[in-house]
Amino acid sequence: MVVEIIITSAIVALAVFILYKNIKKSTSGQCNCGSCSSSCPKFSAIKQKK
Amino acid sequence: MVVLDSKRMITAALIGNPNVGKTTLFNLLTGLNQHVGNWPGVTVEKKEGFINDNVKIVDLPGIYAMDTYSNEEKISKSFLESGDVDFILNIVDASNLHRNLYLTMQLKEFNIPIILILNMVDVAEKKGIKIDYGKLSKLLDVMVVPIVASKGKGVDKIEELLENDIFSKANHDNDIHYQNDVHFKSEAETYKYIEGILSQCVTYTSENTVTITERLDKILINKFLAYPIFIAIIYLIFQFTFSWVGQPLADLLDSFVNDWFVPHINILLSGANGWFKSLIVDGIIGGVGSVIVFLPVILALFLCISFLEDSGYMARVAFLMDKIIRKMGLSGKAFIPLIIGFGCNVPGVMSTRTLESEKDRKMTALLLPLMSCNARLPIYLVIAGALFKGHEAVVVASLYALGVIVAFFIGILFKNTIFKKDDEPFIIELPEYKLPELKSLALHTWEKGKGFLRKAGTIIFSVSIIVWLLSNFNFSGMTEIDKSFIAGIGRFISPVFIPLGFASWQNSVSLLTGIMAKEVVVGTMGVIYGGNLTKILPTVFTPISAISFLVFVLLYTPCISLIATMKKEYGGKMAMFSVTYQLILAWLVSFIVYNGGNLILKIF
Amino acid sequence: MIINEGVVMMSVYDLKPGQTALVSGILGDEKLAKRLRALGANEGVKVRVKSFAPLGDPIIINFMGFDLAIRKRDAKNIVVKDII
Repeated sequence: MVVEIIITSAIVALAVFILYKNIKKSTSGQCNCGSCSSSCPKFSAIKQKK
Repeated sequence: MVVLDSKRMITAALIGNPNVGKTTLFNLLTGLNQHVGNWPGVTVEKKEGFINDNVKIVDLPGIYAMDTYSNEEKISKSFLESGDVDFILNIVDASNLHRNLYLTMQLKEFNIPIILILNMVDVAEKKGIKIDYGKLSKLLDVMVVPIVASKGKGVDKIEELLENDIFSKANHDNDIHYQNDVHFKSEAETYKYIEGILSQCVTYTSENTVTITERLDKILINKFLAYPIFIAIIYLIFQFTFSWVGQPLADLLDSFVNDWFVPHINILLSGANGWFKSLIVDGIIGGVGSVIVFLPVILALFLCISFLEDSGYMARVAFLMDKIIRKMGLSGKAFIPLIIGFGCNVPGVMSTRTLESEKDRKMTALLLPLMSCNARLPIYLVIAGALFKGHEAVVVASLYALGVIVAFFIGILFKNTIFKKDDEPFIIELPEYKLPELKSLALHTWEKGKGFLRKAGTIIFSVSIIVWLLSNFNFSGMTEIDKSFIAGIGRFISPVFIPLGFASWQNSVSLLTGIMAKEVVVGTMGVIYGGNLTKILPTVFTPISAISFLVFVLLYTPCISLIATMKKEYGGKMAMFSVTYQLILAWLVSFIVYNGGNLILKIF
Repeated sequence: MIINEGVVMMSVYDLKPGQTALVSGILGDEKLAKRLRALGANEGVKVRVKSFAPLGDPIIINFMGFDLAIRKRDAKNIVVKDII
């Protein structure tokens, strides 16, 4: 029972966190579509400068 | 070899005509080390990438000249004047030097060393064009590097030149002078000068043979065949996606999840509490699983559209559609953002930046969400699979077509009311056809698959959890789904859908969650109706109400990503207008479909 | 831009598919004119009408080695002479 409750809390926390980050990302206008085409202006991968 | 100051960044500006392989070269030089942003003050995208730690490449938009008033030309000009550029990488089409060198002449005005990259030298050779690179280099006073970008040949020479930085201004201060000694008074003069140079270093050894492009175009834009062929191509795409590859794979995935995965999980969890089991099976698997099974279909469709885009056929489509689009006051160029919109509305709206008039841009952006995006596919498929099994392709194709038809009429409506304006001049270049590189297609499709899975793993996962929570609890604790929070929310909204025939609280709430991302509608339904939607949905919908529902999904407000993009590109008022008009439109058309449909059924 | 008095001015609009002529000049909207000239449509350049769209508009013309689709209405602005 305890294990289940811990896992559930973790899952719920993760879900809320993901949603929050997602809304923040969307309203700041970043691409969020997961469906990028080759002519999408945002089609890119950002790699850290070494 | 000059010793570099290790902190100094060399910046090269990549510039050239459209359709000469600039993007291919940019991708080759920078790999995945790319970053896309905005030029300050204008809505033109700025693409930067790195070859290594020292060399930065800025990809400027494809332009023909520096002085014909477009935004792209203005920012290119100011960037080159800014003093930040050490090299100009001017990429030109070796088989079309006359026109390409016009820009080169203008670039010489900026007093920055130019590396002239002759791309597609293989095509030039085939056409019988022989170029003396040494002479060209001397006459133009630029470095000349021949390459074949699509095959990666010769690109290392460019990297070498940049890294060695032998010619950069910083190492030579002001004693080397890169500008033109001749200043041209008109376009005609410039072309005469170019002709003079080329006549000294280019020879033509064979007659102009009919190219493959010309032969293809004889058929593809033929007076009688063009439209039937276009429709046939669309039909083929749908067949490929739904009958031959996409759907069968999706069905396989579906039975894997429902008939193998779920029972196994049930066994694994057999000792656990009922509610925990429900969270995992009904919540997570029910939600995410309902959406993931459609990955094959989405990839199949995407593959087809990418193929068309890369082949050059899309420009022909814009050409074919121009007259029809003109009735809406737009130009054929608007067609391309609309086609992109069929994949995802968000990049579609962003690519409206490429249209030349503000009114064109706004109008296209408003019509874009009517282009049914990939995210709506799972909804169509789940309902079509449940109620119209065997006819999924027809149902989906009709929805896509309906979106286009509605857009056409709304376009005309807008043109005569909100967007009265004159036609802009319309010129579009028809590039050579090319066979899309398999590697590049595969890469893009894989990226897209990753993106879809990422979305499933994040938003759909999260919303499914939230929905599960809301559907199992209310103010007095854990409860039956019928008395839960979510049922309450659903019942509050559902009256609005009664005239449309699908007013269950479950449907209402699912549509609401669709604002997060359209795929979530299926995820939510998966959670609150229980996992096996194929069996349950026929009990909730009649064929007519199912169609009415699908029409509503097609036309109503898309996801927050799109609303946010609209706001960013066109302002809050435009975004609000878009949301509102679509809700009203969706409601009205669904109303007509539902009631009209029932009426017809009664008569027969 | 040369206008010959007494001689009727022909434009690309008047050409039929397959016909070639020499550019004489460009009239009309300055933006369009500049764009066309930058693309190479200057005096003395050969311009060929390749075909019309199935619905009659736009039309495909070829000059300086590449194909361009342009609306008939805008093609009226490209004045030509010496039809070949």
